[in-house]
Parts: sequence; structure tokens; C-alpha cells
Amino acid sequence: MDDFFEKPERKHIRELNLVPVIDMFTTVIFFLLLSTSFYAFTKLTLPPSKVSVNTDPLTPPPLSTKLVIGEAQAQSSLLTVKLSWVGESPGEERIEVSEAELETKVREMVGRFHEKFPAERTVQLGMSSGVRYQSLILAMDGAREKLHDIVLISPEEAATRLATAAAATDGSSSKGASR
Amino acid sequence: MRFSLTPKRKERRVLDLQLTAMIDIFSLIVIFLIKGTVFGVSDLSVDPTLKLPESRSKESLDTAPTAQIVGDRVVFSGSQSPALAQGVPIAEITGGGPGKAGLQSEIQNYLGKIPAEVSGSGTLLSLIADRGTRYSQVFQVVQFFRESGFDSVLFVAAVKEGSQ
Repeated sequence: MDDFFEKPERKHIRELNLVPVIDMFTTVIFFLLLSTSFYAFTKLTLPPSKVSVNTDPLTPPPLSTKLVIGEAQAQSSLLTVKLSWVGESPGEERIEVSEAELETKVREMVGRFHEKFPAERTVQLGMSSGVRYQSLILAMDGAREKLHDIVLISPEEAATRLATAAAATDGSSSKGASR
Repeated sequence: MRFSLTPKRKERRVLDLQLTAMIDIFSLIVIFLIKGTVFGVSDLSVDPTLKLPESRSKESLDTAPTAQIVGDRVVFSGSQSPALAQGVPIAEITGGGPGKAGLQSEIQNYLGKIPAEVSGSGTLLSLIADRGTRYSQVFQVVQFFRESGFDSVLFVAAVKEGSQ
């Protein structure tokens, strides 16, 4: 009986289909978050140029750390590794290693240096002219963990430093902090 | 007023797939992927004769032109000149010669094209050389490119087996 008469049409309220809009904005937020880079801008104000003298006795002088590597002997596959530094307590350490153990020995050597001077971050790295590129990479691998900033020095300077060290060793004039 | 004498038949509703949302999302993804992709960043064409040194470093490659030491010559990837495609002898860039001036000119052209916002943070150069290359050659090439305007030199090495 109910179906005999047609029901009056209900008033149909149109609903806004928000699903695609929400989908789209969710995606946009996701991508924006992923692709945004946050930069911190700082301003450095430099003082006017002038000559100043450091009178702070607590500031240690630069150590000028140098790591030089050269061939131990002409017919030998061994390498001479020398780590030296200046400053208030200058010193040096010198070993002979094969290329296979170069990285490990340099890491140990730099580790011992880092225990003495934990604030030091820079090393000047040089090799005599005939040393292979692979040795440079191995030495950098060993040194970079503790001494992040590596500056290359010329092969001539490296050879000179190795030669002076050898002469000093021959003359039995080891420096105070040598190990 | 209409009268219906027969019982009203249920309308058969066809289930339609709502594709609008999916199309919206995929359009956005495609746009972002196209905008966000930089092609050819990590492309390194290493001379097949070279055996790269091995390293334990886990740093990834940066976007930078390359200087490749092949034999006694150095090849700069940013060079547009066909005359320099085969590289310049290292002896020329240290001792002086026509190759040095040409290469310096190519480097200046390359550096001049780099946008200021990119070059402001330092211009990088990747150095590729055989593991047996002598340090003196590596140093001479590094020194030349540093003096020519590159701020940092990155040494490219292969990942050592067992270090990952």
C-alpha cells in the first residue's frame, strides 16, 4: 500500500566532494616537507682592520702538524711515515710500513697525536714524488677520522722534511716528544 | 500526480570507480618528479684504462666537473674545445705552453657560466687518476686547478671491498 503512491522527492542537499582535495593537499604537504631545505643565515660583523697582538697566554700556538710519506729505500716497498708538529711541546713520530698496512698505522699514529692535542683538526699531508696515488688515499683515510682538514704540501717540501728527519735520526738527536 | 500500480523496481546501481583522487595524486607526483630530478649529476665517465684507488670513505659523489689524469695528460670534462678533448700534457701545465693557456681559458669559461648562488659556496672539482699515478703528478694537477679558480678538489676512489 505504501508503494501505491509515489513518495515525495526528498530535498537533496549537495555535498562537496572533499576527498580529492584532501588527497591532493596531503600529497602536497608530504612533498613540501621532503623537498624543503632549512638554512640558517648568520651575520658576521668583522672588526675594522688593525694589527693586534695576542696576549692571551692560554691560546696555544698553531701546531703546524705535518704528515709526510716517502719511500724508505730505493729498492724497498716499505714507506716511511713521519708525523711531526711544532708548538710549545714539539715532537715527531716516525715509522716504516708497507702500503697494505699504511692506513691502519696512520690511523694509530694520528690517534696517539689526537690524545695529546684533541683540539687540533688540521694536518698538512705530503709525499715524496714517487709515492703512488693509492698511498695518498690510504693516508687520507687513516688521518681524516681525527684530523678533518687536510692540506696537501708539495713533494719537494715532503722530501726535504723526510731528509731532515733522517739526518736528525742518524745524528741521534731525537726531539723531546718523539715516541 | 502519477500513480504506480506495479511495485517499484530497485534501480540497479553500477559501481563506478572514483579515479579523480588517484589522477590528482599521480599528476602531482609526476610534476614533482620532473621538477626535482637533476639529470646526469653522478655520471662519471672514467677512462677504461684507469684503475681507481680504493678507499673506505663512504662519502657520495658531488656534482662537479672532472679532471682526469690519463698517462701523462690531464683531461678536463668542462672543456668545450675539441682541441683539448685528448687532454693537455701535465708537463705543459706546469712548465708553460700552448696547452696551459688553452686549458686555463676553458676553465675560466666554465667557471664564468656557473651561477653566482652556486659558485658562492665554493667550486668543486673531482680528480680521477689511476692508483699508480705518482704523487708529484697529482700535486701538480691539483695545484694548477686550484690556481685556476677551483676552491676544493675531491679525490674520486672506488669503495674498498668489505668496507660497507
